[in-house]
Amino acid sequence: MNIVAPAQAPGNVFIVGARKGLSTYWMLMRIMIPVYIVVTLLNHTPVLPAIAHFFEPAMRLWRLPGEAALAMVLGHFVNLYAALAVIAAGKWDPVAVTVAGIVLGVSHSHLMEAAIFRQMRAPAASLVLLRIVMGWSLGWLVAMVFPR
Amino acid sequence: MPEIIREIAGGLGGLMLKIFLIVMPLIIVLEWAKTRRWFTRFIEATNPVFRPVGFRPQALFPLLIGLLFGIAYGAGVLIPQARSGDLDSRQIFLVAAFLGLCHAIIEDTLLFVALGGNGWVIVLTRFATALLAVWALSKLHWPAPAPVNTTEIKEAA
Repeated sequence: MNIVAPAQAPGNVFIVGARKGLSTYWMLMRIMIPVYIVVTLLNHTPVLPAIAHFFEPAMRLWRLPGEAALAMVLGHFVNLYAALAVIAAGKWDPVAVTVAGIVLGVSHSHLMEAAIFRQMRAPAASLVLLRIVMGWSLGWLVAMVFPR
Repeated sequence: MPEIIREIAGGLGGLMLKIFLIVMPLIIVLEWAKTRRWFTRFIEATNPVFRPVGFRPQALFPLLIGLLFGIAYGAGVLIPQARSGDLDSRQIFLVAAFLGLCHAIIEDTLLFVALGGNGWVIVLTRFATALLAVWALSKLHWPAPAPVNTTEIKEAA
């Protein structure tokens, strides 16, 4: 295990840590601030509800009400809180909430989190695809096996 | 229009403050903890779960932080480690894949539990899937390891 760093003067680690912390913070903010602004603006346009409308009929395959499409689109593009607001307003049965929790738990906030993947130097597009495929397959699986 | 600006400014301010208050202490603590023996022991204790699927010990701290707190915090811990060459591109990819599928499990799960969802089903499905997916990805050797970007490492040093 080479996780233990070579011995340093005790005060040093805090200065090194603070410097690393600041540069990392800047690296995160540099990407998160513009993405946050774009996402908030997008949420004020009719684009997301239009996409949701298109997917409404498909929700039945996941044992979800039609309005789940809006929760899913908001969760995928904006964040979990936007999706939760829709779910909370809808009085869904526990199975539907659990299925939505699995789909959205695995697959959410893709604009922001893909930007974070890029800062980690991980292949963002592949990872977003992985999350979407896994989230919806798992949600479907749970919807099928979950007893009513 | 001014309402949107106020919404963005308020939300962004909160987000920036929250990430600063979490990432700064975490990175400082990590720097310090790396010099302590108990930290090595703690990391070793989580190894039986994470090593078989392809993670190396250096990946475990960002992994656990991301798993518990959220992907941005995991990334916050991972980025300096990646820049100093402590983690190779392969490990970074596996951490990103795991955290993509399974992060912030406490907060995310409780949000759905509050609305009547089954928390155990949500947590266990996500965790098992993330482990399986990372195991599969590490067996597949996909994607091929990228060449190390030496200019960035020099820049960080």
